[in-house]
Amino acid sequence: MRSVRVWYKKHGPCRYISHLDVNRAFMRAMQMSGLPFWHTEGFNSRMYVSFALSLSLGFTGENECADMKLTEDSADNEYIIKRLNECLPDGIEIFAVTDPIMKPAEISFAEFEVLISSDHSDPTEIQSKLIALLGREHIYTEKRTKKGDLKQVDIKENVGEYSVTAENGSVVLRIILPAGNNLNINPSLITDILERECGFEISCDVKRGKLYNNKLELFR
Amino acid sequence: MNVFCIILIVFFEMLTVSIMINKQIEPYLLKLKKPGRYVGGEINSVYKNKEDVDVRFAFCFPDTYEIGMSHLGMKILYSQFNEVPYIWCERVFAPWLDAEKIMQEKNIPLWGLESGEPITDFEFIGFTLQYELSYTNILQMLKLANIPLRSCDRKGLKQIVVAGGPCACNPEPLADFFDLFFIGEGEEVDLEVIELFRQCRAEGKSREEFLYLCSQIDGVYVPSLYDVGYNEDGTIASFTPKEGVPAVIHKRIIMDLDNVFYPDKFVVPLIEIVHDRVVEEIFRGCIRGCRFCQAGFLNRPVREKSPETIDRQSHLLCRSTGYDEISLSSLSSSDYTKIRELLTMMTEWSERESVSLSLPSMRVDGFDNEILSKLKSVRRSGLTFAPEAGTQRMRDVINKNVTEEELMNTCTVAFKGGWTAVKLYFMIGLPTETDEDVLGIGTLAQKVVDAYYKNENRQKGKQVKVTISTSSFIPKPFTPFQWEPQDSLEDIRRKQSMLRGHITSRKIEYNYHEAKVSYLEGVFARGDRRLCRVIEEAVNRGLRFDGWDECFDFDRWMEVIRDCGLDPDFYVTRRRAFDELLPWDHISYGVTKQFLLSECKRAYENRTTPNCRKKCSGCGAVKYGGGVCYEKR
Repeated sequence: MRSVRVWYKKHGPCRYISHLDVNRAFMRAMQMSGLPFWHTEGFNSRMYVSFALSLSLGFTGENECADMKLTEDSADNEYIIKRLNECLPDGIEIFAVTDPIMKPAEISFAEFEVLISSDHSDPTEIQSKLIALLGREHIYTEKRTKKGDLKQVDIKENVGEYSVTAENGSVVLRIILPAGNNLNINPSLITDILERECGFEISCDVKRGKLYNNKLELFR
Repeated sequence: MNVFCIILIVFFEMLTVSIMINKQIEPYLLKLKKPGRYVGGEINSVYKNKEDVDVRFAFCFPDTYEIGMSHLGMKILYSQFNEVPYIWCERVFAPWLDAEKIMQEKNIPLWGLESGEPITDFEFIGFTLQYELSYTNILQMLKLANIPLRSCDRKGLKQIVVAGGPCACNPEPLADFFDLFFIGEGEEVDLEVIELFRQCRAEGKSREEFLYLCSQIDGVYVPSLYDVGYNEDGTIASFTPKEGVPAVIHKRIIMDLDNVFYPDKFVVPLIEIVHDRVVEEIFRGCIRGCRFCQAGFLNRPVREKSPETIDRQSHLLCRSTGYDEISLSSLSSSDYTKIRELLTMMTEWSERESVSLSLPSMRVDGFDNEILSKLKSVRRSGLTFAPEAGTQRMRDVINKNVTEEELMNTCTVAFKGGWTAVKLYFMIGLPTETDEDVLGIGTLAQKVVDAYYKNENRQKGKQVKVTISTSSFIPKPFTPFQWEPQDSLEDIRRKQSMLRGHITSRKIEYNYHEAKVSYLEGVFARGDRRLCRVIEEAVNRGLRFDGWDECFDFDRWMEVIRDCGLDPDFYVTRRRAFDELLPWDHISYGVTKQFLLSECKRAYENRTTPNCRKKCSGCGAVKYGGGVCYEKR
């Protein structure tokens, strides 16, 4: 038995499908591939696949990963990449297969790139509003907990490094935010406040990049 | 086992054209519920260069993506059309209310999922007619595509609006909107019409000339070439074909199911759909002759696919889609003559590849331990049976040749096999029905509950659950009950509450179908051309998605019908005289009107008719020269 970590990008039409749909797409691709994937034991046996971190519908992912198990050691990583890509829909694209080093539960931060634009205003206005917003001492907002209650959180407390620039008519926010089992700060929490404070509709294009552990070491 | 040994015969087409999400809708996608409905890009969807094709065909399903993508007919024809190099067939679904609103506000015309381009100027716009309450969606989709609704307003050799499917058997309520209807099975006739179109365009023929030539093809009905006259009481006085146009349109039928086109790939949706699995058709038609069942009469005679073909096709489909579930589909799966042979053949690889098999539409009398064990081997789903009526007399009237004893035996087998939940389907409002027949449904359900507790091996502490569902009977064209009145809303409601009162056990759950929905369905099922105005007016007043609770507005509908000067009861609760000229009498599905009439009379006498394998009853389908009619009895 061999565990592998499969790294993929999620974009194009697959940007618009949910995490559950991605899960199903992988299960079908694994079934279709004919590769010797390990099946779970138990009443409803299925091919084992476990995703490190779910990605919100609408976000693109540059560096997503899932763990799988193979019953044979012989399968070559390059062949796994090729074969699974043949079986996956356009918009889920595997670019690497590695041996898992860290546990998915160690993931604590993720890097995001948010492209913000609006038909109602020029980028400089949005840029200055965003810089002012992120410069505050506290940024309070409400967040739904797993139990479903609303809880007040201070985003500012959890914001890591960030930069705000203007590129090609859009404002680009690059930011590191908590992600993982303990705390998740979705960048849309920030852009929602921004939109409220701007008073006009903005559109956001969110891309998730690298994942990190709690020491800000790259998740491998 | 070394899985690498399996050589996969899966070919992946190189994408010569990249996937195009409609650019106009893309900025709004994230505001929509389930945006995955609108983007395309699924595995096995077909992309072509539009410069390389002559005919663009928009295959429209007048309901949401999840419903339409579950439909087998669409999968077959989509693949078949796209096999032809000069045709590019794209899929189009009814946008849900949120998307529809944005399309209207932002002026985004309805597009094909593959190219992302508006279907407005496509050569063919094809609809499949699956149920009456999707008729408004058809018009709404044409509107969204900026295509004139009425065939008389469309000009030139493009925007040919066509339809097929079960509801095409009475196309009259839609006659003004469609250029032509395909009657019967589409695999051959569709391509003949498209080829004729290409020829006509090359020869510079007019739209009218093309449509006239279409009317000469067997199985094609061009409604504009017929004139209808009415009597004062609203019934039809005459139905006159124009010169040179056939008086009767005969259905098309495929006799050899082993050699007819069947796809080796299904488009695999990115989002979850209603039937998310491989569907393999095992036969067409039904030997049973249940008198309420339209599909049973439209699809005569029974034609089977060989076990080898089924085995080969479903294995290929599993490999090209990655699905791990196969549904063996037909009107009555346990009537497949070689069911044991087939299941043995299939379980040989399905178990190894963790693929589960399911047999929907099992008859109460076709259920035994051996079949049960093969189906159970991988995954277990619920058990559903359709006795259809509560008393033996009523079951005899509808010719559902199932006895109470058979149902009890089946349930006992199931309970012994470890099942604890059974669903039973019934109809109320059947011809000659008495209150006793209705109450019999509750009594039967109680007997099933009792059968569970008679089983000594039942799991301790586990309760049985019997769910009974009643739908309201809607008389359909081409059945022996096509002349019968449908129960009024009041009758149905009274029967529903009477039955509810009769059920005392908490182990029985009673669900029933909303009477108003069945009433509206009844209007269109046996409607005539005068209803075209009604449907158009309904759409103008904002009605669509009538099959959905969110949108169904009965009072509004009744208003529209009355405003158009029509009486809905004329279509629903009126008893037709046997000699009345019916709106669908110019169409033939091979079963003679005399046969339907004699079946109706037998029903009145509580007399059953044997199934096609036991004895030929002379329905007329023998003229197709094959199928069950020529099996040895």
